[in-house]
Amino acid sequence: MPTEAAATPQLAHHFPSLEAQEHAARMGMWLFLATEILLFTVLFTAYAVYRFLFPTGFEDASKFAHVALGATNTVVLITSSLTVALAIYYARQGESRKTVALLAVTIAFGAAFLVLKGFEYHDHFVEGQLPGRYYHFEGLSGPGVSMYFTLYFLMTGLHGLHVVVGMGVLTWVAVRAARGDFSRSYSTPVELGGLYWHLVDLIWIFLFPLFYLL
Amino acid sequence: MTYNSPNYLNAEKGLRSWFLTLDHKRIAVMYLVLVVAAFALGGFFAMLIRLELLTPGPTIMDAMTYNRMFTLHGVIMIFLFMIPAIPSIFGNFLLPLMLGAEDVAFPRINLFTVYLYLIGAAIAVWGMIQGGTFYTPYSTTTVTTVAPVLLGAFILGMGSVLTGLNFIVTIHTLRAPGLTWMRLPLFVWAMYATSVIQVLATPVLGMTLLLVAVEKAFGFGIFDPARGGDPILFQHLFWFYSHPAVYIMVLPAMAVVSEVVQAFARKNIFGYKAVAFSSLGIAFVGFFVWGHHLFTSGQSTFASGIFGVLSMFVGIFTAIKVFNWTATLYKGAIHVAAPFVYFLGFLYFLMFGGLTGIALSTVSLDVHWQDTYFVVAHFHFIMVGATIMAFLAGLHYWWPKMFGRMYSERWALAAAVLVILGFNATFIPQFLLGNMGMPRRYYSYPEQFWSLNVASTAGASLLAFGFLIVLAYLVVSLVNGRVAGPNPWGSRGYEWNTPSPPSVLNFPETPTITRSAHDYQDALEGEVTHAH
Amino acid sequence: MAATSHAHKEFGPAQYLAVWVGLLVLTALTVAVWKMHFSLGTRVTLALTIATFKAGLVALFFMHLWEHGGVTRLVMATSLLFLVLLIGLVLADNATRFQYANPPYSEPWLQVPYQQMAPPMQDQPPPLEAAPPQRRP
Repeated sequence: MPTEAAATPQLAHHFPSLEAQEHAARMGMWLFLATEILLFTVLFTAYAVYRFLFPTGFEDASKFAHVALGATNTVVLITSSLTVALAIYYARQGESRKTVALLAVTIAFGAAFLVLKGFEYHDHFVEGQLPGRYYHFEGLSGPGVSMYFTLYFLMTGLHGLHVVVGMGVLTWVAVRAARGDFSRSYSTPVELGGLYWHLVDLIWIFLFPLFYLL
Repeated sequence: MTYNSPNYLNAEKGLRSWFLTLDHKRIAVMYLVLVVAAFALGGFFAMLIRLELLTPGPTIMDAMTYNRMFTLHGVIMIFLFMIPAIPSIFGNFLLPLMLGAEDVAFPRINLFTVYLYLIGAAIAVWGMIQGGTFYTPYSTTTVTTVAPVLLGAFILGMGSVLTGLNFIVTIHTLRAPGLTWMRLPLFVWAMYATSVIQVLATPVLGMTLLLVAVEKAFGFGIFDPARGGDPILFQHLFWFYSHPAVYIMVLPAMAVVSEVVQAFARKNIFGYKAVAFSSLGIAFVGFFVWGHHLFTSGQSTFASGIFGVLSMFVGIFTAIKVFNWTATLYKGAIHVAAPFVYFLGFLYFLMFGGLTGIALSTVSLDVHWQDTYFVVAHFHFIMVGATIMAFLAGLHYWWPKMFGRMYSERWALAAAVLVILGFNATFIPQFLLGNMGMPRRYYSYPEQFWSLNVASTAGASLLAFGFLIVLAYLVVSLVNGRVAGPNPWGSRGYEWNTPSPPSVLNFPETPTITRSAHDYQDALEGEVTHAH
Repeated sequence: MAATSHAHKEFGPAQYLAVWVGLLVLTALTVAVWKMHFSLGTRVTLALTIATFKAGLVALFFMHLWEHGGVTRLVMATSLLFLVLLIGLVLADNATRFQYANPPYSEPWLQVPYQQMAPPMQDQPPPLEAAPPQRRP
């Protein structure tokens, strides 16, 4: 055990081995992802309730969602999931340069997602399709319509916040990879950052049909 | 059992070594100080409430101030005492010792939760002094500021989630060799179940409070009927966390009691697997019953019926535990010390609190009792009666382990009796008051409720006095108490295989576990030490 | 070291690309379904089913749930169970409520006969600022 600690300075004193530590870190990250899922569950519940109560209002309002932009964003996020999965793979192989490059591409895709989202938000602002009491779009009114946009902005906004956080996490991981912190035996932070990014993708996979296609 | 390292209390000196510590034992002691301070503060507001209720009309405050008093009392007691107390103090201190580990899985996150507690507490209390409530539409339309309380509760929730996460990973990954799941102390099983609830339920509360804050600040109208919102949706979301939250409070109490009953009956638990799995059962089924808080809110009678039936199922798991703890006493060699007296109080209060809970889950009865003192008495029986008795039992049982000193047993027994009597005197009148129809959260009441309210206030004074005595002799014991050896109770629990207080390094080398915890009947001749 | 312990199950770039293609196909499918103008119930079912498959692909392969099984699968399964539980029971409440306990002008899909058992209201609910529902022709 002392020799392993000397060879791998990342091993904490209370873990018997690096593998145990990695296993624990992964489990901790998954538990954290579970909390994120339960966090979004609240919003999905609100969505389910109000769609159930106002089917016409939601259906009419969802016609004003930009399906093309939403679909493009879906492809963007799915591809970014691929690149981050590849980044983890190459990190495990010890190839730092590919890891950094793939992480950078992932972050770029995240930025692209936010830009496209920004266009959508701008359009909604201009039209007056805003949440709650700020809703003043004359083209459509009725029960449930402003609630659709309230939930739209809340859910995509919270999701966007998670994209930003994810980009920050991946940037930090990329910096560490560029510094040479990772090797064949230790690449846990890349994996954990990737898990967070995949969660962001997972949530969007459900947000897209719920707001754009239904 | 001594080896060459100083104990965790005096190994390093100075405030920095405490405020930046990564040692789970020091973190536990810091939580002890903070949580007891919170309990004193919550108790102070309780006494103000009881003083106000001494007379039918206004006594020492007006209605708005009274609202603040019970809000402060309730939120402080729940979020700053009941939820963190046993997990953050005893869970932190004992889990690594019981598992044969050097620390919890994520020590830095552990330290971080202490600061989340402090900051969340400060913001929430500061906010509540200005007034606040959670339920919509009051919370979204009131002129009082609600945001600080919501933010404070959110931060506290984060601490709770991280603690639960830490414990789950610790229990999965840091068990010593030979420590299989079926050899785990029952304390660990119940803490595991508690941590699962903490991790899965608390985010729901966080998001719900955030929605209220957003609605109040920006008028988004998620819960506002004028914009198509449903205020009852808030209640669904709030209670989806808050019902499992009561199991976050009671499961650790049951954890402590499982340990105490075995040590003080000097007998293996009756039905280890049943008790272990019933903890998981409570955690799981506890998520299915939240609608029993919405019986009179406008929820459909169909849904109320479902929730009423599901609520009764939770009682089954609690009954299993009560039966098994009692059966453990049969043919045991009972040592009547303070922890055991608190265990007896716990058992009595849990039974009556639990039975009134089952009664309340009957929709037709709850319609009469909802928002009366019957409900107040019910949850105080469980929370104060059961949980605080268990907290005190654990505090007395593990006091020598944590601080190396024995407290005065005579004072402890006297205080225990006083606390139990004072508790009964405080809350049994409240059952009667509630059944007679006295509503909760009212600062004035009709004349016919006067005498019972006076009785309740008298009881509360006795109770408070009892708690103060406990605090006094425990603090005195730190200086004057008899030095406790490694195992003053003669308990077979794994944590007693360390010096008292433990050293910074929990174990000189990782132990290998070859027996189950609390194996009194199975232990070999000469292996079992007797209490002295 | 981490690689060798799962060597026989380790996925490589080829597998990840295959998963990616699968995700794109499913995305195209979900957009195609949208264009087909089914009824609301069918659309919801199809959209959620396809989304679940996509999420399954991401979780099992990109997030390595397929390789690393055990507790993490249980954690995910439990979270999903509670998500379904919360949404299901809350919807059950809204679906079976006394008509006027739901938000004004709401039109819940399910007309559970239970609702008809409540006596009709004598007074009309007070008028609101929101306009009455715009019915499509």
